[in-house]
Amino acid sequence: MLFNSFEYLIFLPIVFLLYWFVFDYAISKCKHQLLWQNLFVVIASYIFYGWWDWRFLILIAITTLLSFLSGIGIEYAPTKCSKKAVMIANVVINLGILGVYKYYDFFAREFAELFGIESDFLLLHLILPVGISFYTFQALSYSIDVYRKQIQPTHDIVAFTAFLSFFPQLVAGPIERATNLLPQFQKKRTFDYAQAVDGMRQILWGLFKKIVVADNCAVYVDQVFGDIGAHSGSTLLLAAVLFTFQIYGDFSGYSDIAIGTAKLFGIKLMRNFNVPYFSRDIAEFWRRWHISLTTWFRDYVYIPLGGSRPNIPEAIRLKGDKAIEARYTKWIAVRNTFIIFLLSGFWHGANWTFVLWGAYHALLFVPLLLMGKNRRYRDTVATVTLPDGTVKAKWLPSLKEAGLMLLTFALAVVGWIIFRAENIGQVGEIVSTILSGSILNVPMLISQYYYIPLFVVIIVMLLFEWFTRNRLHGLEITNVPYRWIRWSIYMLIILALFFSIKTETPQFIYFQF
Amino acid sequence: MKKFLYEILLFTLLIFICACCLDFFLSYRLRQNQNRMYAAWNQMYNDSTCYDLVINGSSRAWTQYDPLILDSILDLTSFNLGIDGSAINRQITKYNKYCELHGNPKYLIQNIDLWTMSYTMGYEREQFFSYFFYDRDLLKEYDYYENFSWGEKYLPCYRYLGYDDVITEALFHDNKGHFFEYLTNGYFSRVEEWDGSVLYAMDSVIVATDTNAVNLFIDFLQEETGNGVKIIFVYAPIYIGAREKMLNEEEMFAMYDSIAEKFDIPILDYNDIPMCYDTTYFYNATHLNRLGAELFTTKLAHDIDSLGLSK
Repeated sequence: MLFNSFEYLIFLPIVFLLYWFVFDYAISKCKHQLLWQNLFVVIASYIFYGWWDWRFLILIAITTLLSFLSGIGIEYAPTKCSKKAVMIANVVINLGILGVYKYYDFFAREFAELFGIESDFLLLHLILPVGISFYTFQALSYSIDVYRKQIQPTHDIVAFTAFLSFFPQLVAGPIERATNLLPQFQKKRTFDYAQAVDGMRQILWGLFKKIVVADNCAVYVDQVFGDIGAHSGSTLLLAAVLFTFQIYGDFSGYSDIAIGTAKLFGIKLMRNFNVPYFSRDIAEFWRRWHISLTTWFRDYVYIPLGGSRPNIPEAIRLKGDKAIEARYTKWIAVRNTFIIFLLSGFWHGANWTFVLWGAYHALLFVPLLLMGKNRRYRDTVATVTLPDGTVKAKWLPSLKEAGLMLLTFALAVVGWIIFRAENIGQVGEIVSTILSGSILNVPMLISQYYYIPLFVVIIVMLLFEWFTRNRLHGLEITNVPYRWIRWSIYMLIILALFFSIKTETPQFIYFQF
Repeated sequence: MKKFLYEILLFTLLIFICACCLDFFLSYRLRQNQNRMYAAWNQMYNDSTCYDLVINGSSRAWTQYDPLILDSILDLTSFNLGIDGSAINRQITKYNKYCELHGNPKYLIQNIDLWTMSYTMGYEREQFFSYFFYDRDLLKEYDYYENFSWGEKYLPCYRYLGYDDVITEALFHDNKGHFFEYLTNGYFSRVEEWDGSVLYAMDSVIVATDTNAVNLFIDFLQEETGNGVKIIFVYAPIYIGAREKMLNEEEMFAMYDSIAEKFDIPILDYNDIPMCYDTTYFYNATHLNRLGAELFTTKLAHDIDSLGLSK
């Protein structure tokens, strides 16, 4: 079931009303209120997920059961070594399932090509279950956190199933941590008016970004990238810029709908995007883009590998040469940076373009790391912190900030070209066409009724995000004094949705990952 | 919680009111539109003249029979009800709607061909949007074939969702669309030269006749002859190259002959006149261009006159 589908428009109010009224009332005198509330979440989530294909439910049920049992196994394992063995077993099995479904055919094809053999008999042609990368990572984080004693293992399988299958974030994140989400399923939720209203606003903003911005950009992007050879450099560049907005609108829109929906059910999910296109360098971009995945790799891969402060091996330490130690530290930091960027790229899909995309970002990131400037911009652009600790946003950025944002945006556009291309050869073709003389041609513009509204909505999105950049989402406009103004804004957004909805409901890009 | 639900209800009500206004506005604009398929309906709806003669059929009626030529030769008033891409089910419904608005005509020219005796479903369904929400009879008639969803039938604006070209048409194109000058009394004259691609793409044509469609047509003829409407069947010209690809033409002739005989309806056949051998008169394999349509209509009008069919 897609968030932008008619089915979901029916599903969500029904589940909401049942959750807070019918079901909540029915269990109000019941002894096990929490259990029933969680059970209802599980049933709703499984209906939501099974809407695609009921067979997917088997896989998520296996992952749930394995991870749940691994938590208990880690708790009862007598020695640290056996605890580690249980955790590793769970990681291996879950990654094994993910690997078979997502990467097996890719590696089999590459293997066959390398040795010049027929690949057909090697391929499994498995359908990639929607959201498998997301819930697998969520499951892994639970058993690792239990092993690290950052969370107590739960014995409540219903709460755990609700944690792993909670429908708003099941298929495309945010990839939640057990430390944040699981405790919320371990106490009964009560309705919070302000939270629910904010959730509605966030859903509306997410729909705007997905349906109005992303889906409209997709019309041009798909047409141009569908026939690269037929277009000029300027058209390809415009398509790349529009894809930059498309993927942001698509994915952050999904995240906003997910987070907003969760708020309706009294659940707070972690933030997944924080105005990434207002970043002043690529390091800041990665602190603001797909935060739940970036922090996942940081916590479960980068830091365990030594991060940027690795343990110095005894052989080096004994030499007592600080310069060598510093060089070693930097080398490990660079290596780890490359590892997480390459893994992050490969997580997106079984294609070398994603690996190249990861490598490209690593190459942009490493110089900042080596210069010690990767944590330079930790605040939000064009904001000042007042003596009382409150953060005040300025109307406009400085010229330098604007320049840096534009440069970072341009670097991101190049990255998205790699990401969008179907293969490495196509990356070369696109880049060479953009760098050719045809960049000076007038780009193809479908129709004035298409491109004028499109540019307007992109500007509207950027303006909203700019003025709410130190808030949680673009439609957090509680500071607008009059209700009629706020409601007029909502109505205008709904009108824009009306004009943008397509006859065929477009998928979310990140569902394929 | 009560406050939240109250606000949601209030906001939903507000959306509903806005949707009603927007629906009315878009439908109103489309009903003024003079572009192509909208005009074929709008000219019929926005005019209350009781015409003596109407031409019924598909695009082969729509683009090939010029009412003004018929008027000038036969001294009648006539209107073209041709509807693009339509088989007999759509043609009959449009004819019935015409009669409801204008009254029964004295004469009916029914264009017949190999494609008439079947059903059209779904093709350019947006042509009904501006009317059916407000004209429930029309909705009832077409819903049987078009399968409109519940939302399309009962929720304002819902049927426009996803049809951004229709919305653009309603918002930005006024009633001086570029098709306007080519539309006269429902007739759409195509000032175009021969395009052979349709003929080239045409495979051998064997159109299966749908028995239910034939029965529908017979019921229709029964009713109209009962109403005193004089009916004439016409085979309009088809380019010879296309005819050669029609493999069950004889079967078709036999079927129409038997129907015509049953109701004592004259048949005028222009399938083999000289213009059928000359691409100058066609814009594609199955449709005459303006030049061909004018010549054909003139000939048809003279034939009707000389045979005394309009007396």
